[in-house]
Amino acid sequence: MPIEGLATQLRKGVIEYCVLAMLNEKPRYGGELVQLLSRNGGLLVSEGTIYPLLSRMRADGLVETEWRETAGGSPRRYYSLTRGGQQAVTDFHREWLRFRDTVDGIFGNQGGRRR
Amino acid sequence: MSTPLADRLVSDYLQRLDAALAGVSPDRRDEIVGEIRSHIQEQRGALPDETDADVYNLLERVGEPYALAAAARSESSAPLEPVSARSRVGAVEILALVLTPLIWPVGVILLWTSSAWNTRDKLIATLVPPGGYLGLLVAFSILEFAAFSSVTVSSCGGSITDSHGNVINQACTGPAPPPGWEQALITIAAVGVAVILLLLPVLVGIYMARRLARRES
Repeated sequence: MPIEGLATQLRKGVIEYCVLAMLNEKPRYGGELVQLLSRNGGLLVSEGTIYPLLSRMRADGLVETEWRETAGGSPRRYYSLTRGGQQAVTDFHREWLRFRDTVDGIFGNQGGRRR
Repeated sequence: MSTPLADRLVSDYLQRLDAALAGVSPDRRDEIVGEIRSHIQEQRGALPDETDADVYNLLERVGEPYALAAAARSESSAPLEPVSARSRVGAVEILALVLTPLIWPVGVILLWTSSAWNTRDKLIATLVPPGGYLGLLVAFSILEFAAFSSVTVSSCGGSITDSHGNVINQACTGPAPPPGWEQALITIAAVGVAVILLLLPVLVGIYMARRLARRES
């Protein structure tokens, strides 16, 4: 697999859980998530892709929404985690650590042999 | 200062997005278009001196409508199922599949000791039908007995039996037996239900095997 394709697959696999993890801290609105994700470099394909993702997670019952007034602006839709969403964050994190350790273990050995 | 061109660019963009989202549920479609509209509004509001080029750049950053629609349609990576250390298909799973319909108690114990299925699937295999073929046999016997005794009670006031217990005379006072076609319908329905019930354990077995295969792949 070409490396760009791999990067896309990896990104697709984790973006949903990264968003859930950001919402686990506190409820946020879409624009806020876009800012956070672009600060963390390259997880979003484009700014707009966060919205189909959020709507799908809402349809899947992982997040729920609430409109909130903003100072001097129009109301914003805030997204927060459901219990299912919190469970997904916990499950993902556990799996991620295991996955990371496995890959690191293998690559660590290889590096050791080469040196 | 926004120009007429900039406004038209944005409204064209939102129209194309809405069209690209055809087939997505109306609820989600409204949510996506509405959220992207306010995202664009907010970004434009933050520009001190907006030019048309700024709006072009902004819309490019937001993304192509067809790409966003594709993202809306793509499958979710769904909550992770709890993955246990031992998930390979082995003798336990195969025995559980074979024994659950035949020797229900043994099959069910094996089923629940295996970690290859989730709780929902285990419940399905345990309870559809409860007891496997053993359970069906018991159920059929009870039904047959009930049907027999209800006919005897409802349509016949009493019967005279000889010394060997054979019925020699029945005093039937109930309503006349149903006409032939009705009887036939009832029989066909009963046979249909029986066939479905008899197939159930096999169908559930196939379902459970497919769940195993999916998990393996």
